[in-house]
Amino acid sequence: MWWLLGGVLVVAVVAGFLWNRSQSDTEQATVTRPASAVGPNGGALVGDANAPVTITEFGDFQCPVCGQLHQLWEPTLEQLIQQGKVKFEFVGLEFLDQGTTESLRSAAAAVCAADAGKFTEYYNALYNQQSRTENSGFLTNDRLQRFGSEVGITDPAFARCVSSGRFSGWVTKNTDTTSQKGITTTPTVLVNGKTISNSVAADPERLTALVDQESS
Amino acid sequence: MRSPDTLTSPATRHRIPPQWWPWCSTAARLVLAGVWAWAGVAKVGDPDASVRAVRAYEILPETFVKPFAWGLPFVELALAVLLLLGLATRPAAWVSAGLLLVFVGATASVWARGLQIDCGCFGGGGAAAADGPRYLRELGRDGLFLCLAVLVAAGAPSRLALDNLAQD
Repeated sequence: MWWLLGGVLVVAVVAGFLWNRSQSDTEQATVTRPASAVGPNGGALVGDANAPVTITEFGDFQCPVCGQLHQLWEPTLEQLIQQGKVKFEFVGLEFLDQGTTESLRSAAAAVCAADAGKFTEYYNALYNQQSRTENSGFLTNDRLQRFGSEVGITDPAFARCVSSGRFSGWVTKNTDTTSQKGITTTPTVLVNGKTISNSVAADPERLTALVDQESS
Repeated sequence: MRSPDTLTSPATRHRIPPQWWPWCSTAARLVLAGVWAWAGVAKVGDPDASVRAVRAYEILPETFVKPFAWGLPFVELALAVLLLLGLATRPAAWVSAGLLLVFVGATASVWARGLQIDCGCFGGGGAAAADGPRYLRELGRDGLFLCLAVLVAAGAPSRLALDNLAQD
């Protein structure tokens, strides 16, 4: 009976590899690069390109802890960007999709908003109006387009960008690349390429002190 | 030295009547088939998440990540079908036990290295839950499945199995 089992398992491995490869978005996706500024990790870039410190957030718009962090650090982050001390990169990921595409489509919509010149406003809107439950069907294309209207995006190209999933391949590629870097959780925050704890990121005094230390 | 009348009969020693053992083995086999089916189906739907889940363990070199992540769900489904039908039951149960030992070892390794991941055993991309990883629960669960696999592999022949037809 071992021969039967061996044969079945060999067929399973080969068939599984070929079938999954044909289904993989990473393998099949068309990757469209955004026209707006892009950081070294493929995320949307905000702030003075010559700022001495780069803060990178690897986030997922469905991730509740990302939403909590956003509430805590947004005023400090905004201030540091305005002061020219920090440029901020947001890498939107699809870590929390489980048989759904809400993380993927919201992250791709944020890239559409970046191309429309309204990334920060849209990013704030997605976190501020986050659903309490993941993969609940909350982030429909209609709602993603409505968030755009609410933050003042009037260009019809934005709605087309969202509904066509223009940057889905870009987000999928970024998610895969991020995973290859060993990042498995959101939010993950880097300051000049070094991971910091979320408790430091959420503390205005410690975050400001760290930025001052990095920029000196 | 114990006198003959103090020796326990096999039935008393096992507490479960001997004629029940094949049915215990059958139940364990079907539960194990269900576990593998659940694990396989959950992963097949999202090959990219499977890749991220395997990568999160930081054990396999990148070259082997995709073959493992994409082959494993079909191996799990194949084991589910074999166990459900009762075909090549003992070899399938031994392979199940081996696979579960690999999972236990990998989870223990991740825990020992302080990584914060979800096992991805039943789908998902390896991202830890908001309240942190659940390694102890995952190890306990896999340990239980391992006991079932060993019971099927080394215990009494199970009923309602195609293997029994082949022997007749």
